Amino acid sequence: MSNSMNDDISIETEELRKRIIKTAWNGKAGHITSALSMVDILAVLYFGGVLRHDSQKADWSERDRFILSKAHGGLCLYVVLAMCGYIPMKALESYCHAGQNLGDHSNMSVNGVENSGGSLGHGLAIAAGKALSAKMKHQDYVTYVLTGDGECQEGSIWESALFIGKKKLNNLVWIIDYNHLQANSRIEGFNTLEPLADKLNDFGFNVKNVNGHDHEELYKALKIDRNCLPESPTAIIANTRKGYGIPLLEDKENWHGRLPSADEYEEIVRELGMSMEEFLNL
Amino acid sequence: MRIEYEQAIYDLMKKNQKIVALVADSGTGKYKNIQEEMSDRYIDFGIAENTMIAAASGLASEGWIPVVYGINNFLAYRSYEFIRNDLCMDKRNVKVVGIGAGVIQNMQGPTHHTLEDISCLRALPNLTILSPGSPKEVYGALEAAVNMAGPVYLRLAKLFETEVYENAPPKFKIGEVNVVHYGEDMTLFATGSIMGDAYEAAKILEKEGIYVQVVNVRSLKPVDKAEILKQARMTRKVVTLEEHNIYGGLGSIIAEILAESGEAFLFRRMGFNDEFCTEYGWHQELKRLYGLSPKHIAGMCKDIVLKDRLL
Repeated sequence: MSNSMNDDISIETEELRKRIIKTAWNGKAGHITSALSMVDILAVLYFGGVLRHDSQKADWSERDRFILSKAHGGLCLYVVLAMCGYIPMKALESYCHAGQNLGDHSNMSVNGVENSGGSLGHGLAIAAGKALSAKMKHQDYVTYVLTGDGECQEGSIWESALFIGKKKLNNLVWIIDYNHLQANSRIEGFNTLEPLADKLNDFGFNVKNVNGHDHEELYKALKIDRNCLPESPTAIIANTRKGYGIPLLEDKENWHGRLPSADEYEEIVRELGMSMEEFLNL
Repeated sequence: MRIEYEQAIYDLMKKNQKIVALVADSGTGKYKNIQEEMSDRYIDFGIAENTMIAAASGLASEGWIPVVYGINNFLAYRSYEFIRNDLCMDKRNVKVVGIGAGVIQNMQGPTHHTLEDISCLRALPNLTILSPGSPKEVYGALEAAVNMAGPVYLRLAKLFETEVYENAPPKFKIGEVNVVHYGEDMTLFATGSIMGDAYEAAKILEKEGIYVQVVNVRSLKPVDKAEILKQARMTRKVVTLEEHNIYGGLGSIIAEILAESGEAFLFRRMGFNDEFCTEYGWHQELKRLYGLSPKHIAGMCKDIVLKDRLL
């Protein structure tokens, strides 16, 4: 197993970021900053060679499973799935349009999506069920699940963590998008998760603390040797910045689920290094 | 019904290797045998119903048939949103088996009673709801649930039910009702744990020359509207009976069917009158305190029969 990424995926990542903005603009909807927070995580998973997957066989039984528990990041997932070929790129133009199936929260009617989400605190247990099934069927797929950090205020998250730790589901990787911002304010203003690493460790996870925007760091943490699984389930604290990559949005409060105005869109497009014309033709 | 259910899940797991038994610190009796003999398909989540339901969704998505088992109220109420989102929305092949419907958890108090589960669960799209009225039909109900694709809620009583079938009950078919006592004076629709009391009430009235048609509504969703209407039309006098709140349960189901027919019926609902059962005592005693003993049921049936004669 290689310990570093073979390819530079910065071009794909940039395209992903631009298409997220374009898709939100098209649909007049979306949790833009939540999607940008997880861009690099999904880029490394899907483009960086972490996931074993085949967009032409979405239900391939040997695929690694990816559960998006923070399903308000569906905007990012959908663009990734389009870039991988699970869904046509054209489908992104129908995002949040009446009569279409691409909505703000990811749902499993979309090719390549494992489960429907939206309500927080569900995905970790669903992932546990999938990881458990792999053990029972002696399959070697790895189950990845991405939760938010605010989502970790849900009791069901810790209920599931207890179970995963107790069952030693070492074929499960739990990624926490730790951007420190929830809908109303900074997470520390509510129920701080700290000391998060200690908590996860106490629940029986092998904890990795990484820069959630550094592809090499992410790759090393995410890539699990399926032939030599770690002793414990893995929890990755991905330290991220909400709205990453766009100064107007990055690490700013009051941007959760908010849509930019026309002027703000222009600024965002500038910050993406594009002209408005280029953006509209994307 | 608990004994019959535990035997049924044990037998079906022996036959069908896809069935997985999921419990939340709730596996007693025959589950111990399952744990010992089929440990690879027995999972105890501890007191964590929500995780159990969502993990069941994950297991079902991989081709397993998880049969989740626990006290009805902890499943129906605590895990309502998990049943809704993770099972019903994604049409997962999970069977949720609740043990202890109504007030059979008699000494435990209202936190352990289940008087609102039909009401809240029947509002969930894609969910099938089965409510056997006899211990003898529990096996068939579980078998039918396992043999169909999609989420099912199996509402079971627990102990001391009066058996209404002398012989083997008719094959359990989802979406069907079944007549357990014949009579031409009025129609009594009942479901689940209180079926035996309906049957006893019919026997009491028989001695008085009043003949009650008792219909076991063992499949609440889907429900056999045509057959229910047919049974109601035979007498035009209808009483519903359930160990459940009168709001949203069997009474509401029958009322909807009768109202939509555009025809006239005399109609009464029997059940818990939008109240918690805050008393303690034996199961039969609790039902008596809340006006649901065989004598009370017989009284209501007689009343509706006599009322009709006065019209």
